[in-house]
Amino acid sequence: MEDSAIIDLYFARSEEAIKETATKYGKMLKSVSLRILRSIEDAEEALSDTYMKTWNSIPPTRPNILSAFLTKIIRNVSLDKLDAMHADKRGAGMIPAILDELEECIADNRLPVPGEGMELREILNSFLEKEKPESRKIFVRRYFFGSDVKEIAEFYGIGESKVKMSLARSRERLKVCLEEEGVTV
Amino acid sequence: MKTDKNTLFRAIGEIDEKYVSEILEEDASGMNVIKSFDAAKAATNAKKNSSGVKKFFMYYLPAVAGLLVCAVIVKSFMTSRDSGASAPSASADSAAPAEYAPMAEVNSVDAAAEEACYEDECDSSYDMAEAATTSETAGERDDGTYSGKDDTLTIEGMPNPFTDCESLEEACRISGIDLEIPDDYDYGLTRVYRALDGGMIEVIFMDGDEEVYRIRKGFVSELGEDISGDYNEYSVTTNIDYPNYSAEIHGNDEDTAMNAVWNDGTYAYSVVCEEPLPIVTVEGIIEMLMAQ
Repeated sequence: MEDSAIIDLYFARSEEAIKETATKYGKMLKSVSLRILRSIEDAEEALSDTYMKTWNSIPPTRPNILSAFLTKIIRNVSLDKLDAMHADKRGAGMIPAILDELEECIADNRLPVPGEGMELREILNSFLEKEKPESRKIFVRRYFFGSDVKEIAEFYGIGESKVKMSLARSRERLKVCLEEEGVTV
Repeated sequence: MKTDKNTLFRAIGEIDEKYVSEILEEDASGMNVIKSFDAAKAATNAKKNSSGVKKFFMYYLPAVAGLLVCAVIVKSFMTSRDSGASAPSASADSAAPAEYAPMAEVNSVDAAAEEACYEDECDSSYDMAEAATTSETAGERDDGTYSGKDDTLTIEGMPNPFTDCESLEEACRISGIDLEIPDDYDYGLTRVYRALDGGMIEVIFMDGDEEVYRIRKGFVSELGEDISGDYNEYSVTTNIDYPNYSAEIHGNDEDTAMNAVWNDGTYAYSVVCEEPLPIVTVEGIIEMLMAQ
């Protein structure tokens, strides 16, 4: 079913909307959650929460790209779930490694204060806009989808060191972007 | 701080949907090769080829020319000596291989010259004349030396001035220079350590068989201020002033660098990249080295 038809089902408040969403995107959404939570049980729970949030969001929202809209929801739901977990369990996935990598982007461990300069989301979009497609895709795969380096390397048929190098360069450029937009050193 | 990196990670979840969609579409289409990587690879290979040309002019050609000159000098010496004893004169047709030209052909043996030389109990300089006057093509050995057949002579390449080292500590000991490079600067690359006895230390960062960048540190008094060995011309030069030194960074645009050279009066340093690295990365390397 076309995305527009699924969205119409949501607007019509038809429960078929969730069924069609699950059929078309369930597997993909679960894999996104699994990368973060590393537990099938937790990922399935996150998937259910995602359907519920989507149901509550549409209407009034009419997503431009339904798949991306759903992906962002399940990412946030999974991260909320991760935060709610016990500290021991939180340390089990790859998120700590990703967070450590992202810390390199923050010059003195401070981020721009909302209202000062550009918002963080705008800075990130501006940064991604300027990135070359290949480095942008690697960055998004790693830091949005939580893919591990090996997975990215295999997907693109390149070496893991190339992926690491690309990520390191992107982080350096993001650091510059963040500094330019109001991070006080 | 953890909350800050968490904030950044969370904010990445709010990026434009088009960037997320880009990945999802890629996954759905099964397109699993970024074409530009292939293009970059091709560009790298082309650069490596041009780098081979550069090495030919930098190393092979001077080495061959040097040996030619030596051969001519020795020949002249032998000719002038032998002319009094009516010995046949020797003539060198072309040059012999040298340090950086192990695959070069070995040139002709002038048997008469060889005989005359033995008769005159030549000193060790005969070896060079011999090498320069051997006519058979040398055979390559497994150990990298070259051996001729029958009337040809064994040619040993001049020693590589660099010593390959197992560790940074060994390279430091041989070169007499202290150097530390934290793992943070590896970016997943492997390191190759080399040292020049009493002169320079070199760390090459490799991605498999491909060099990504190399760091050198050497004595200014021995090697001069520019030890990069990179004689390419770049369109953009950026000077960065630090409290006690100034670094010169070269590249082809404002954001990336191909090499950087600087010195503190005692030590000269260089960073040379095979592919452009962000200037901020190179600055980080400079600051890391100078913080020691």
